[in-house]
Amino acid sequence: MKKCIILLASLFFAVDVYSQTITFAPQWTPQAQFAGFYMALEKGYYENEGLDVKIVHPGVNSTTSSVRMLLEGSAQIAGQQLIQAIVERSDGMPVVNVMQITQQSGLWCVSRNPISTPEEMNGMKIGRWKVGFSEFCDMLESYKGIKVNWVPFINGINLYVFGAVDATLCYSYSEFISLELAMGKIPESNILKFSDFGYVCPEDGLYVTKEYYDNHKDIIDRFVRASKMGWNYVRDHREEAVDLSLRYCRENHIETNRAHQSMMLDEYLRLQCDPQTGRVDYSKVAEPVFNDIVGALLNTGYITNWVQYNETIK
Amino acid sequence: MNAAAKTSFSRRLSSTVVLITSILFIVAIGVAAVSSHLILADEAHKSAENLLDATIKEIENKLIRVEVSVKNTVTTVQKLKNSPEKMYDITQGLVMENDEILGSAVAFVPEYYKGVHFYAPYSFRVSDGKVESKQLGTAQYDYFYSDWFQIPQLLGEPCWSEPYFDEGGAQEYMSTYSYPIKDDQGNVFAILTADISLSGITEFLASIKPYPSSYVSLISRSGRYVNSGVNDDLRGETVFSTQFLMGTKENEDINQIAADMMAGNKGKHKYRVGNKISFAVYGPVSNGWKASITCDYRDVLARTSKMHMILVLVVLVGLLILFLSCYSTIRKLTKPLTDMSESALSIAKGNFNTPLPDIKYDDEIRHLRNSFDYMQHSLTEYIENLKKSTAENERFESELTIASDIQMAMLSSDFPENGNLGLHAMLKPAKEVGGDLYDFFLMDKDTLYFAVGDVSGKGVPASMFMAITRSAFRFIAKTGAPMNDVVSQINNSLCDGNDSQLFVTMFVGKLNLSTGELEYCNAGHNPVIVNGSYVPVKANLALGLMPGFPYQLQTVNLTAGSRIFVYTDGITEAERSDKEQYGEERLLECIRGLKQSCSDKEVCESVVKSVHDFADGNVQNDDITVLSITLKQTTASLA
Repeated sequence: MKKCIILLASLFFAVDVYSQTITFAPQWTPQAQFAGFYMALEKGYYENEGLDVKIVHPGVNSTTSSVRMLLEGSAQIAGQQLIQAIVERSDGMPVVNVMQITQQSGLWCVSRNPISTPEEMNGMKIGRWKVGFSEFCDMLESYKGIKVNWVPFINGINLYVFGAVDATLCYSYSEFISLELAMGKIPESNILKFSDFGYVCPEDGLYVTKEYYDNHKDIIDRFVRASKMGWNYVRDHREEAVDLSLRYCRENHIETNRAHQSMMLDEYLRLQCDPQTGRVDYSKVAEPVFNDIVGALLNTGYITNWVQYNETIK
Repeated sequence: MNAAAKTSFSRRLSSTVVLITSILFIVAIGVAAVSSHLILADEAHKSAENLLDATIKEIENKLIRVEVSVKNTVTTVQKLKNSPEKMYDITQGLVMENDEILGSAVAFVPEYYKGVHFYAPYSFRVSDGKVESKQLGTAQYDYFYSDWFQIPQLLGEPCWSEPYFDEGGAQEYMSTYSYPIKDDQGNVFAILTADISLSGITEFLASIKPYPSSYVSLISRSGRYVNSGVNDDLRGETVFSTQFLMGTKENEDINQIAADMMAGNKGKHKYRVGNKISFAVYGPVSNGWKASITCDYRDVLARTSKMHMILVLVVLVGLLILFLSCYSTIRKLTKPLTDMSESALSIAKGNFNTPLPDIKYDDEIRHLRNSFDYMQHSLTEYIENLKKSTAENERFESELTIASDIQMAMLSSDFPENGNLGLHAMLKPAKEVGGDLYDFFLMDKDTLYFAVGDVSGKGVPASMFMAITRSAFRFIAKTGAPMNDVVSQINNSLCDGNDSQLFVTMFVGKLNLSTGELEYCNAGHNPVIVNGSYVPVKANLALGLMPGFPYQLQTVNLTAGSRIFVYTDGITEAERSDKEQYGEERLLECIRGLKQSCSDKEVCESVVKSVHDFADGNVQNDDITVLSITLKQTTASLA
């Protein structure tokens, strides 16, 4: 009888555990940038943690972003960049970082002509994303005392390919690879890597609302644990991860190619390494780095309120 | 039989002919193959380049028709820009006017019409052929950041968009031609567009197939395949990403083609993937796209490769026939040679009367047969002569041996050896019989007569003359006449009837053993050595040359222990291979080097050995004669 009660209790808790449904919203359309999450779902790591995870990507042309989905409640966990999260916190949005994925910045500027310093961007017509990332552009102009003729774009590399801009901002794991696959090898002299000039802002991380964090810490821990397992598996099985990413692209009608996804995965895994140790441990953003970014955003007037490290990074 | 066949002349010659012919064929086929391949490849390159030019022209014509329609509409838009509702009519008209245009929009910049953020009337063809219109810009579709609007606006010039898949509409690849419309100040205020389907172009490109596995590719500005000549898997691929797909990332040639093509260059390039060698011709299209035709060389060269295979087979069969016919013909032609070889073998075995085969044709083989026949007769005759001459030679040699034995027997060999006198002599003829002589005899117990002579010439005549001279000496010396008389009489005797003009040099001596007086006469002979020194001799004339010649007598007194050494010029004129002669100095040195205690035999042997060693194997050209006499004691010395 006692055993029966224990069994029933176990079943009750099991049912409770497996009934946790979570929607995860990556910050962009399907690609190998999110391969670790696809893999965790594919290999049942989330399921093993008692989570029923759904991955819902925001649309390319839609106004919905991953954070908006988070705030609206259509997603419980979202991916986004640290600098955006700081701005959101400053604006009063209660977002909390629960996992830092990349440890380095992959933000580059590719110019049609050789370029060696950010100061040379002054007066140039440079493409940048229409949505997001404007914080960096404002900080850059403010710190370097330059004025750039920014040309917003929604997606892709075509402004640069058609010669409509002098240069374009790009991520080393995304647009830069598209550029090289479209135009061939880009000379190193035409690439400006902002991390070489002191821009050490870690980028992608996982975010939840403060309320969700306070009430579902256990679920978050399980999600993070399973996601790390997914990324670790991807690191050792890259071809399989590329196949899986391509499958997600096809299912979402994203036109891409294997070379792009494979090169993206390699670069993204590189950005996950600690620049000092070269190891991957998904460590939290260091407080001084965080405070430096907050200070810089305050100085440029991009934000008006100081953002507390302990309230943002968990 | 097998061994003979293996080394037969016919097989060797046939093999050589076939080998040489094979080499010539291989070289000829190789040169022909390479030449034809080069010509075909060159023609294929030119043909592909012409085809590419024509293809590009066709694509451009299709694009130009749309471009012209749009350009013709631009003025209307400019005229009616202040009547926004007319824009629907304009776009409808453009779509209806040109069957290739599936949709058209006039998209204005933000707030061009005051209070209106988006204004983009869009007309499009629907399934039943009618044209409908709608407003394109909405809060959800912010067209200001679409490539078709933003790029021509920034560039200030028209352009064709990147191909895109129209998921919501035609379900096919489309491209949009966008024309920026400017106001009087040159500012762009609207973009006029025309959408076309790319299916017509891709179907046209798919129909171009100069070779079974060749394909045409149309590449957009961003390197994407507008069409895929290979398969649909290339959707989303670029000219650089396909190398990743094919595993040819490191292929420099393919990279070079992709880079060259994307740089907008026109060209031709060869590349290899695995065992497959292909070439691509490529060139730019007027709208910034690039077209290429890729051909596999195996396709290009397929016809000649088949022809070369047939040629090789024909040559192989031909070579086999050539070998067999050569072998048969040569064997037939060389049959007489084989027969003659057998006859020659029989002749060689002594059957000189073996018949030779008859030769049908008057050719080299018949000449050889006749020569062989002549040789056979000559050989038979020669063998007969040889037999005769051999018999004669044998007889002559036998006689010569006998003559030699007689001559040797004539020479005294009973050398006296007692308390007073020691004597020894040696004669080594250069031939079977010689012309040298020596002789000695004791007239009484105190008187020794001796002589050493050398007849001119050698062989039998000289030996005969030597025998006469020796007999004359022995006969005349026994008369007891003085030595000069003895020599004169021998001279006269030899001169008488000397038709052969032979002569003899001679040293004649009479030694008184009791007194030691040596009475001697020298007739043109080598001087004698007494006690290691030459004694003075008068030259006189050799015997047999001048009858009545007055020979002069000489005397010398010897003491006990004196040694007389007489020799012929065979000693001093013995030659080495370098023509240097033994000479009188070496002789004196040899004599002086001998101990006094040496016997006369040892003296003779030592001198002959010294000469022999000096000659060092060189042939002895002249007779060698030595005579050594030792006067051990005299009566006076006893007293």
